[in-house]
Amino acid sequence: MALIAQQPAETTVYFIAGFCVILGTIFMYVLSLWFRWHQSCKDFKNLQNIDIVEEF
Amino acid sequence: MVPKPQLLRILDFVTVVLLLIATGLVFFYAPIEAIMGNVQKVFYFHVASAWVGMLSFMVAAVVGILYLAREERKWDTIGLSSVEIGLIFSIIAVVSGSIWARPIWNTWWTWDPRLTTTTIMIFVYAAYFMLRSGIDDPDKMARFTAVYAIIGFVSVPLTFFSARLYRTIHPVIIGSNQPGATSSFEMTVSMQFVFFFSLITFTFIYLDLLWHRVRLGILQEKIIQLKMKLYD
Amino acid sequence: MKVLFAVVWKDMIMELRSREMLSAMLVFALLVVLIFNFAFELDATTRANTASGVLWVTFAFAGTLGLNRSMAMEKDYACLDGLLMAPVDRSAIFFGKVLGNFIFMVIVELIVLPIFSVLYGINLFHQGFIFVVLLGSLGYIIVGSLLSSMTVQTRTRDILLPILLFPVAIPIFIAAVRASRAFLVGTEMVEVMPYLNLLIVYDIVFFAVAYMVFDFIVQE
Repeated sequence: MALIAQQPAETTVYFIAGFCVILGTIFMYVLSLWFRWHQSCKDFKNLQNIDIVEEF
Repeated sequence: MVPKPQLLRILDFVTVVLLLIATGLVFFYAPIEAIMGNVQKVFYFHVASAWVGMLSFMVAAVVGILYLAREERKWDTIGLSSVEIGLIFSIIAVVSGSIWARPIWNTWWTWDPRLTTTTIMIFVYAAYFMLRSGIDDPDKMARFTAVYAIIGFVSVPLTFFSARLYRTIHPVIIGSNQPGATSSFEMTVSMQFVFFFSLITFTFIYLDLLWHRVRLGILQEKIIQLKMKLYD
Repeated sequence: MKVLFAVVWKDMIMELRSREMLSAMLVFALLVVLIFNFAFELDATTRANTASGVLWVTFAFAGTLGLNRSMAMEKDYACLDGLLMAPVDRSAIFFGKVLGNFIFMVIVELIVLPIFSVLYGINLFHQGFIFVVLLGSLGYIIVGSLLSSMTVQTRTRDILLPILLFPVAIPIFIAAVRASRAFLVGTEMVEVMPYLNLLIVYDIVFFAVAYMVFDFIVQE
């Protein structure tokens, strides 16, 4: 009797989907951090300018 | 504004490199699991994400204790940052777990105790933020959220055990091909290597993100203080 | 110790005079039971199975009502500030509140249980069942008192308490529902013990946590 090797299930689609979710979310979070950082930098600079102006 | 410290630059670099290597390992080195096929490979980063969620929570609780003991603002900032990152990674863990479950057990959800516990952790994390936004006084906010982080973390092992009891004594049959579906399979040596490498990589990702987020938090604190000074 | 009972006594007297909190909790609990009755079409066996679940949902929500009212009372009438100025051990004040809240919850449960028995046609007066209800309520009230003393000082007050409390109280819900159901359905003790152990551990752990942490919530 020939033994038929069992093929693993064809689930590559889910693998790709899962990976996209994981890496994609990490990437989006990093982006959000970057964006918030730049926004805060701008705010900080503006406030510092106001501060300097008010010193007079 | 403080420029990026040298150590952080190095950490950034190392983290990215590790992540690239880990991804490569998962794609090309890790063997294809005999029954589940390629989707099993999601498991490496899925567990690593759940691990980061747990780690974040632990850090938040420890830092909460430190804040209550010493009342230094930095502990509060680290706690907030850790919870934020933990929330993201717990969501990643749950969603990727769901994607893994779908082709294997023909369901989008299994009441696996680890998955259940992680989901409840998400609710605790989210509640943390709601608590934070409901208080105006910064010192009170820091104290209360520190207390909640401790309470939340203490509840996690209890939740886990109760979820596990729930499953072992009353296995869930609805919605899965296999009664008492658990996510277990045999791990070969090469799989174990990729698994541990992923854990280490994601720990580096956590530390890197944490440092960045804490920097952001400190900057935001400075802005608030400057605003208070100017608009008084 | 004396302070503890003084606090409990104060709460009892206040409630006796106004009867606001108990009546609200009671009416609410009975309404929930009624709604559940209409929400599900249940035959006899299913009723035995779901009774403990329905009861615990009821207790959970009635409990948050009581907790909110209890702490709001302290804050709004500045009772807490007065108490804190007294030179007494703070933990006695806190555990006095806990005991008071616990007693109120138990009173509500004692009234709801017989009514539920009648409406649902199940005999609930099983020793083990009552024991589980008490154990679970205790843990729930300990954590609930801790959290409500925080949420009462926020803007979003009443809504925030369930959001904070329920995820942390999940072990209680799981263990209490399963254990009480087991007693109703007549399962062997050996299957129930793990759940009881979990409840006891939960109560002890959070009692300790509350003791260590309460100070930080009330300090000005």
